[in-house]
Amino acid sequence: MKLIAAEVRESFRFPVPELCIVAVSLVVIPWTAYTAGRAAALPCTQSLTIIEEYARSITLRSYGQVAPIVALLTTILSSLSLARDYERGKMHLIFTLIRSRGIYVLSKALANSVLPILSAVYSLGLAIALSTPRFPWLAYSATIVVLSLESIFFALLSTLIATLAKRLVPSLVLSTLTTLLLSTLAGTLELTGRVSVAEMLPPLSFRKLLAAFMQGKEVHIPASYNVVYMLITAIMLYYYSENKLEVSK
Amino acid sequence: MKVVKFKDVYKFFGNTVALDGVSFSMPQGLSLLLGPNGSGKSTAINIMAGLIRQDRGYVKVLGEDPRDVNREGRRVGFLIEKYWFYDFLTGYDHLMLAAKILGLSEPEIHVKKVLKVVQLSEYAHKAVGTYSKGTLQKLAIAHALLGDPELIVLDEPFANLDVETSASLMNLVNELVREGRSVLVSTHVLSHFKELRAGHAVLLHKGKVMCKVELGNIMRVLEKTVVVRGEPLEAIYRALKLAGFRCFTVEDKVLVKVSHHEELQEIIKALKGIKVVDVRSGVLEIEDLLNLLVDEDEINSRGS
Repeated sequence: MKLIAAEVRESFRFPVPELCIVAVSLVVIPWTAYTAGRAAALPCTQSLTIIEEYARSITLRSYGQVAPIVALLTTILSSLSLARDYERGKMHLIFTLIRSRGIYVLSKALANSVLPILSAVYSLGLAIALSTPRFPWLAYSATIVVLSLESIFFALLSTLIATLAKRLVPSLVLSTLTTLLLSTLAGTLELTGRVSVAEMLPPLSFRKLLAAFMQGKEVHIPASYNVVYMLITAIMLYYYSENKLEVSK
Repeated sequence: MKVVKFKDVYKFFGNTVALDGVSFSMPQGLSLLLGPNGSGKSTAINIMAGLIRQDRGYVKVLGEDPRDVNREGRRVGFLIEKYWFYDFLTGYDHLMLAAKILGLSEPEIHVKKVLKVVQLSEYAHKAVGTYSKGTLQKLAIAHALLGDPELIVLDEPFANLDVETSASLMNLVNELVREGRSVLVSTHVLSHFKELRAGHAVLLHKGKVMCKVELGNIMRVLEKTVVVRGEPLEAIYRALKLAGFRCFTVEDKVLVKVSHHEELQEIIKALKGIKVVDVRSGVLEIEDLLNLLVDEDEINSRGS
């Protein structure tokens, strides 16, 4: 817990890259969420039940717009943090104290998900509150849970990439490209109607999870939906449980 | 009991061979890992710390695999070559954080104890960002001492330290050994062997074990070598050769092998008329020792 707290404090110290990230968190994400919410709210009628229906769709729509930015933000923060630890020598010092790479990487992923999640909480809350007369608390809470899961997933993925690439620029570029690729691929497959394939990709799996929850259906996601997600998680689990991470020159 | 064991250990970084079939063991007490820069000392220590894994061979530290995550408590403390601290935290905060990560009971007592040992109590509540390099080195050493480890491995502990702090650290190392702990110090400064009165040393060169030496042997080599500096170096070399001395040129000096101290007078006599800046015995750099050992190896192989 102390390590996570120190990591959180470290990630809030605002040197230039972090300052840009905070600007994105405070301006871009709320704006995206708000415009998405407004767009969804425009055809709104007087009926309360219809408003509720739209409130749900506002939440979904805002989620759809915000999720890729949150994923990207988490990715950038996590890979920056891990690669910088390696280059500075902090990783070396920590591994003389703890042997398990898993604990260290988990603390990194959790700490670097805090800022994007907080940003999403406030952005979505603001967007939904400004677009609907009645705040859909349940849908909002579900969205935040799903966004947090997604954020942690991308944080873990980018820390895995950063532990392999190690240096700052390659880590940043590779992890950002991977997140963009996953998000774009999911979006493209969804647009072309190949949803069954697209749902195997993490961004759509999370959206499916949220949609299923919000529509009050039983949350049942077939294993095939999450092939990529499971594969990446399995690689990560193996990598860290076997202590594969090398801290070498 | 051997505290550290390396057997046929190889480590490659791309095409670079960092460790080339290294085998050695370190007994309890104070041992040194000697070698010039780039000889593989830090790689060996990083393997001991579990930071990297050897490509071949096996390594045991206190009888255990350095990468074993299941073992409990802290049996080995490391001062590694590369370290970093949060500059907004104080030294005390850092040590408390490390003590909690290590799961030490009564962390405050442990932290206060190590701060006192490394004489850092005065700076303990100041932010690390205000520390000098020497103070940071002390903090890193305090980290290594946390949790009363049985074995303490110090990689280049005297780097960045002034003479006074180095001397106090040497006293600390000797004190730890007297307390019954094993200490392994890596250094590229040969005189540390003499100053620390280490019982045993392994000399690494280009990733290989050059030799395993004991204090007595090193002292003999030191005593039987005279270093001559002056110019022109070639003239010094020729004059000494003519006088029948076994000598060779290394960078800006000529190393002369002697069998007893009285020969120092004969050396000075042989150098009459040449501008000599310095003639002294008992002072050698690690590269000089390596040259002497290579020379001895060649003589031995010619003899056999």
